[in-house]
Amino acid sequence: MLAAEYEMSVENGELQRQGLARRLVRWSRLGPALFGALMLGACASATSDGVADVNDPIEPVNRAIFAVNDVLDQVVLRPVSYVYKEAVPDPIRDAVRNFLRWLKSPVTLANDVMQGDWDHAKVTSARFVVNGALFGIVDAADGLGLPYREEDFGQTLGVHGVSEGAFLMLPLLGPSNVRDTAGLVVDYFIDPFTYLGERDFRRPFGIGRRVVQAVDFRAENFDRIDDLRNDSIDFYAKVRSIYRQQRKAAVNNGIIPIDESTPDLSEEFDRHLPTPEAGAPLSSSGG
Amino acid sequence: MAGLRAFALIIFAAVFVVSDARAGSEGERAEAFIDTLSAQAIALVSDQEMKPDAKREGFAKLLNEGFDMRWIGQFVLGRNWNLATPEQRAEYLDLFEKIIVFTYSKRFNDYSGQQIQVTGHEKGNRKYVFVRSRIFDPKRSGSSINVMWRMLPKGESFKIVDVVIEGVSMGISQRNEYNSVIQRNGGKIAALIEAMRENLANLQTDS
Repeated sequence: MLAAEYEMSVENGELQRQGLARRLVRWSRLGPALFGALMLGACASATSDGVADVNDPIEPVNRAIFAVNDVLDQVVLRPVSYVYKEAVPDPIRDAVRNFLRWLKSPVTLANDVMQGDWDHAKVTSARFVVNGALFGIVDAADGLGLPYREEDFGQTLGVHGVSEGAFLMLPLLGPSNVRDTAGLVVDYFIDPFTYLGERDFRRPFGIGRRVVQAVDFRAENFDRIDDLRNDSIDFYAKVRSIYRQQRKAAVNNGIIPIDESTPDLSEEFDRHLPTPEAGAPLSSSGG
Repeated sequence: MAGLRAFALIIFAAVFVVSDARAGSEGERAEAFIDTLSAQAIALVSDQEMKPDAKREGFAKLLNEGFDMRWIGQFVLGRNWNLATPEQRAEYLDLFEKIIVFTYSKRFNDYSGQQIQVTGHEKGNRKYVFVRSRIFDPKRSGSSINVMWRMLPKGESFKIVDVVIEGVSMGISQRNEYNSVIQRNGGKIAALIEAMRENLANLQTDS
């Protein structure tokens, strides 16, 4: 499961529910205070080397959860995803993914607004309307130059300078961190689909939606995840590294700023410039 | 026939490199470098007639021409590099390269016509030059993946030192993984080397 989920917070916004305008305003007002408090503990631990490099103070607990997630993936999610991938035709799987993405529009829009990203708010709104003609199952907007991109509250916090906090491995949901976990909760409450329909409908819909999301993700990345798992010598460490990098990129909307005055996003390259001349008893092939 | 065409393409690419090396700004040359290298790689991978072993050798050669493997290996090991003995360094670098070669060569058969398009370049900190590109499948819309190449100038040419795929650096991922293995084994580099040996053996039996 972890494998299926490790990218999910990037690919998918996750927990969703109703963000009526009023509720949205209330949350956005409440947000800074609440999450400032939540972040405090986590931010304190970040220093420049050793264990803090990976910012994972409860690693043994995380690894235990990861192991359980991995078993669930191998026993349940992977086989189901395989059947889904092999038995369901491509166009239908595309329609399912488009629909899942369309359902995320309100949360993405709310976060666009909270990030002050008006350009993307327009794109999100336009996509929602255009694709709404067929309840999102056809992504017509993509062809109109309105590509899909998702925003969640974890990213919104990141945009406002909140650091990621300690790394967390969530049961079933996979890799996260303190900031993004808080983001999941907020996104759940601002998602209109959390409140839509009868009580008897909401719960199965919410669960079903998340299950399909997990299967869709696992099926779409089937070989990639299998390869990653099989070719790693420390799968957990690799997933953790990839998750943290992906979230960093997501906060920056995938644009990696590079110029002389600001350190680029992979500070590690700037901190540790290997010097082939020094300490090189070997003849180098890379010469 | 296909083999001949691929061969011609490689020759063309080689000539292109030589003639282009003297022209243009550093950024333009860096872009041309990626163009050429990817054309060579695609020619190699899509060659239907070449035997798997020959392909793997060709890939290893391209890898060493295009990438500073020693630099990358050293970066991935991080500060543990300084603690490693000369023997450990030598074995580590050998395993490191072989693992990359076998990891990628078993995926050659998955190649289904993806193309690479260079989209720009930038100057980074220190001497780094970045080339941005996207890899896409002309047959599938919405399949584009952003790939950034971190390079260092080497004389008139370049060596790639990292590949960043959709914001994920291959070097940093590998570095985090390997250092985690060392850390969990009481700081012993020997433990990493042992794990890499196993890793390579598994990859070799798979292929």
